[in-house]
Amino acid sequence: MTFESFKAEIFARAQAKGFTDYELFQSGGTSFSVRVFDGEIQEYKNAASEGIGFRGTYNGKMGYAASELMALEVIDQMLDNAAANATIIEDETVEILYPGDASYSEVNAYNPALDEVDAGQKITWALEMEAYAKSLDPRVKMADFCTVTNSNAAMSIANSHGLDLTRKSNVAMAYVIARVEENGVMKSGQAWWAGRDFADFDYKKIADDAVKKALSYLGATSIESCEVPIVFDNETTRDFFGVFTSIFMAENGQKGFSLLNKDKLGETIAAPHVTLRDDGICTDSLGSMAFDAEGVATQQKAIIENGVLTSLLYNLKSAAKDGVKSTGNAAKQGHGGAITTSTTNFYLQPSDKSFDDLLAGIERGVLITEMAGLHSGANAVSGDFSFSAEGFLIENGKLIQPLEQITVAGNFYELLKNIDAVGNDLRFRSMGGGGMGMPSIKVNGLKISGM
Amino acid sequence: MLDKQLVYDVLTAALATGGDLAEIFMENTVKDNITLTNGLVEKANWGVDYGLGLRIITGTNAVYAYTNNTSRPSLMRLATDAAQAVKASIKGEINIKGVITLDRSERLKYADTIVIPPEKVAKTDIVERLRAASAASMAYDPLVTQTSNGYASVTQDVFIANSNGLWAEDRRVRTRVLVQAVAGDGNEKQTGYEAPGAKVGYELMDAINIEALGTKAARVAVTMLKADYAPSGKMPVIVDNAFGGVIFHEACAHSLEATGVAKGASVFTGKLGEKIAADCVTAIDDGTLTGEWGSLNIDDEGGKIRRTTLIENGVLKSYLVDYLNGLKMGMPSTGSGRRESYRFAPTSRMTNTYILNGNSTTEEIIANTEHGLYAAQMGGGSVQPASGEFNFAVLEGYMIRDGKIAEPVRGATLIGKGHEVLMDIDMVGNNFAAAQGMCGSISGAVPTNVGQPMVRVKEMIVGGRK
Repeated sequence: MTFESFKAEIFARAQAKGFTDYELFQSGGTSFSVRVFDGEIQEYKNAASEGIGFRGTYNGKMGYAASELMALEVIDQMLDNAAANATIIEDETVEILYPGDASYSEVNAYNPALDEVDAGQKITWALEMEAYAKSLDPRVKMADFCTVTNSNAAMSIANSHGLDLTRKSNVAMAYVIARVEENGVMKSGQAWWAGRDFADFDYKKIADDAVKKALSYLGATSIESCEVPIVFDNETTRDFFGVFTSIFMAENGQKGFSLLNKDKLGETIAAPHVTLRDDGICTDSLGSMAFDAEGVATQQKAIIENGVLTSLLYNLKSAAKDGVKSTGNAAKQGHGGAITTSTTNFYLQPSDKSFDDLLAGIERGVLITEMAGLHSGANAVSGDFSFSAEGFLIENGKLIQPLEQITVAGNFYELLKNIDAVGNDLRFRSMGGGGMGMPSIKVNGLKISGM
Repeated sequence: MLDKQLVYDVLTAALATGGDLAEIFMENTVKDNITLTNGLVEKANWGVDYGLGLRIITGTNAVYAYTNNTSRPSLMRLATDAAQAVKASIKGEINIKGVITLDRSERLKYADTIVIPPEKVAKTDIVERLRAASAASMAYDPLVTQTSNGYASVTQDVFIANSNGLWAEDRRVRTRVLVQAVAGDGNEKQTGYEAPGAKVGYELMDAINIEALGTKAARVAVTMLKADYAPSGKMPVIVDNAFGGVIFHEACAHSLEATGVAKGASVFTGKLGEKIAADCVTAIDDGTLTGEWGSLNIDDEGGKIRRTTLIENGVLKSYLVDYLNGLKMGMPSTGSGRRESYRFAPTSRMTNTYILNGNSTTEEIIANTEHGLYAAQMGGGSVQPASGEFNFAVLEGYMIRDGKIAEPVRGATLIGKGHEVLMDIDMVGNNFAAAQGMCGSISGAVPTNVGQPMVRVKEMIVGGRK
């Protein structure tokens, strides 16, 4: 059954059942991945999927239902459940279906040539990447999760107010984890590439980076607990902000799940050289999009400008609650989820300081390059965190010793104020529609725990 | 779910260019979710997940493909494309099976005894009960500023068939509630939560006291709000029962999964029969327990579910093995092949994984600890199976001073290496209890139980802020 015929049928039945307005959301796509190990294809994956989400206003409240089976027999079941769900909703703010904006930016997030690349070629690259990684140093025990993947995604929204939008994107990725061994101790280093054109893909560079990283961790020790200046590289800085994006979402402040809300706008919440942006259209990121999950045009905006909180992230409902306009940050988890809020392309404005500039002048400090326990070690409400970490001891601006078995702990709100310097090595990671990119940062006032 | 001829044709097409085993995993899953914020219904969702995954095993490698379109043309195309990938992946001689059989005499059909199926439940009743939990949290202390309460039911119908003649159907019904309380005093906020679940229907609601859970979540949030930051450094750590079992789940059992062991990417590779833990540690994985959150009738590749002794008095007895990794290791499956959905190829995973009761009482353990950290309730964590390095968060913690539980502390993370901590367990209590979690790995998020009695670790790194 096609989307168009399914839509016509469910809209007709929705109206007959008493829904006053309604919307159908569809997302789908295809994905390919090949993972090799020991010169053989360990897993080869080829997938096509699609799902539909219905929402509609029933007795003045919004009801949701979803299905991955697009067939006539599920329509009534979907509508009956959507009506039953609407009936129990008690949230007083009415969820609005959007008629659309006058115009949307042109976004080119789809490269047809990417989908043309032959599976055999991708298998060859994966095998070569593995073999190359293993050839780089005798201490390389294995190149694990050595993977080449590409996927494309499409999304459509249509509603009874005339909204009718479609977007399409594709992306390719490659990654590998080098595992090296010395004196019976195994250390791992990971590297990745993401792009929209395999011409930019250099498996040697990925393998090199992963192996170099893994080797640099050999001989790591823990250190005594201390409080010293800390540099987070661009990957771990992104991990950090990724964990705490929820605090910038207006809906969380409104419900008391974030300490930031509209009353805090105009307040200084970060160091003066901190500017945090969320741009729907961003040429450096693969995640640009012209509209969000409600069909609202995305924007380019500062969340924090020179340390001052200038905007929160809004969808239609949270914007209505605060009496402002949506910032185009509505999102849906999959095709069936309720409307929530998400970042688009979220990044810290880079400075002109190089990574080495950040290290320079540190008499004794720690560079953090790996963090774990991100989902469990953070309290997104209070901002408290304590993460397991790996990295290097810095002395007199130089990396002198790899570190393991340490934790880094503090509070994200305090961290924002204690960012001493921001680097220039901004690197985006695409995250399934949208992206996040951070440069390295230097921070004071965090606690390192060790042996 | 599919007719026999179509299954036969798809499996035959899948093996047309070679390969040793072709397998279909098809599911139709109905999910129901309700979320209350501050006692009011904010979200209600209902949805159907539907699709089919096809796996072809050649040697010790796998080709995997999936789709939501289960029409004959779509599935035949899926199988033909996958077969081309098999052809590309086979080195050397290709062995084409040709004839497959679907005539194994037994057709396995499983379903649990569900007292109240989720689809028979009035949504208003769910709301009423969740609201009672919220009210109990709010009534506990004026410092409780927000609550979040959720209900989730999942009814997963699966059909698994393979070219060795397996033909199995299973219905899995799971129900879970989330009770969360946030305590705040201006700039600080702390949370407490309880999330019981079981492989049962709505009768779960009668088996739990949801108001007591609301009170408990509020108590933890308020206690932690008033707590000072945890200290940092090495010290003895006492981890209490129930979700405290996450220590074993993360620190050890993940590294016993064949996924890592088979390729040598686990600290426990090649250690069968060796001592990997202190004498007082005996641990099992048991998917056969009736109605438990992590239990199964069959695993997600049709394997028989069993109770596996992982560690007996400190000696490693078994890994957790799925079919494919079992081929690599020369070991039979332990019924551990699991996946979140048709979107994932199965791999070895846990079910209900427990440290069993030991000989000490909880009073003895605490009284014998002069100074240390008592982790009354744990949060989540993660592990690197290659190095055994793990981390997990302490949700409710207290200092132990002079053999007594002293002041509460917050924000502690425990880190260590699994194989070292297992050796450092020096006391095991007798108050076993289990708790529920969603465990994430390369085959997605699957429901698992963790569990243990109170356990003392001689020394661990506590990452606090003081």
